Amino acid sequence: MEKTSKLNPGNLKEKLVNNALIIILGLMLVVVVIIEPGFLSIRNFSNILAQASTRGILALGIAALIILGGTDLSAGRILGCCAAISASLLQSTTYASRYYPQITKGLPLFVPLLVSIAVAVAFSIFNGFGVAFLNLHPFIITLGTQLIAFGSTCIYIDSQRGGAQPLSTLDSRYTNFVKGTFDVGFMQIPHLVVILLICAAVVYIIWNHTVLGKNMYALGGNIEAAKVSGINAKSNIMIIYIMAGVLYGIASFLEAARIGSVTTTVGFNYEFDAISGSIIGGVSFAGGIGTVPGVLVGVIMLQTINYSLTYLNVNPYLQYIVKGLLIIVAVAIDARKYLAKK
Amino acid sequence: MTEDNKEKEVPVQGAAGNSEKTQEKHSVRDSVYSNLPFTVKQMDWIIGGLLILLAAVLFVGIFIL
Repeated sequence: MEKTSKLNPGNLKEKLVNNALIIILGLMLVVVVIIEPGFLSIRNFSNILAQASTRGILALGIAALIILGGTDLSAGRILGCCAAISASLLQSTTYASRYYPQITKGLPLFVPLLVSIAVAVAFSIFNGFGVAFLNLHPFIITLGTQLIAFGSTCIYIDSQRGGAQPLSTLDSRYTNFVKGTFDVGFMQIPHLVVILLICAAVVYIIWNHTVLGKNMYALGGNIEAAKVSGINAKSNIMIIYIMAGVLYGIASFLEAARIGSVTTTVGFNYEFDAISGSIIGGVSFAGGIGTVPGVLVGVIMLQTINYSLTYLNVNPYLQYIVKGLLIIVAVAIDARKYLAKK
Repeated sequence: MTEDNKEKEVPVQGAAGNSEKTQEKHSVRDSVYSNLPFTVKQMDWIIGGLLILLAAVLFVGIFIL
């Protein structure tokens, strides 16, 4: 019976339409490889994974909020703000123009990481409070937070002794930790990828094997029914926002060292990459639907397309148009799934 | 929320299944897609059109610009 239903043309069409974006992105990759066979190299693959890592961690945070039926437009700017703080605390102590000249001995790496997480969590608590207790629409509250985070970053970077300048010349312990690789046979696996996998594993367990995860899906699916069945919506929403903040903090700490020089533009549009990666990976804007492997596949696919378009020297402005269209297609497919279910 | 959606009511099932709360009825939450004025078939055409547009933009980007 199952076999016959799988061969049903109707089912096949459903599957094709529902996975249209992944298929199209796969076809795009085939075209890229035909045009530039050199694209298929372990080095490129490793670069793509490393670039996707910080966005992947960010996307895991945002995906949970989308499953709740909301979103977070401030994630990119929060990342920029926390990256600036991490970088300023971990500049080389031999660098004369460092942000904190009073730090003469390198701080342990976990201190800036914790500071970064604390700041990101503070922003997320602000967002979560607005959504859970003031019933504000997530678009509005996170749009406001986006501007607050951006303004804070500009002021922070601008208040250096020598005026506004990139936060660079980072401590070598920091950059080695983030940019380092594990040698596995002929492959070099970036530390960033391992950290992404650890974060994904933790998030997977929370989403699938804890009461909080079940509550998250229930609240996203139907908040009224979830409330009636005894779920405390406010506290659960707050905890999920705080979890997202922790992930933003980790991503910020890693991103600062990955790019090596932090300016006010860091984090610009990162939230769109994370949101579109999540949607491509099957997280539904209608709420209540989404998986961790889906988010990872979506983010890596999107990053691969970004990387390949740059590799092919496609006009960078046109890449924005491609990304915009990808988001619209992803949302259209998501809406179609909703209509088909109804 | 449209008038139609206000009228839709579903019995609530869940952890408090045996309590008095099961007697309550609650309106279905509005989804972001609740008011879409399209059928599934129309959405198929829209998605097809968008994919062709995406392919065209990529073609222009890779081979022309």
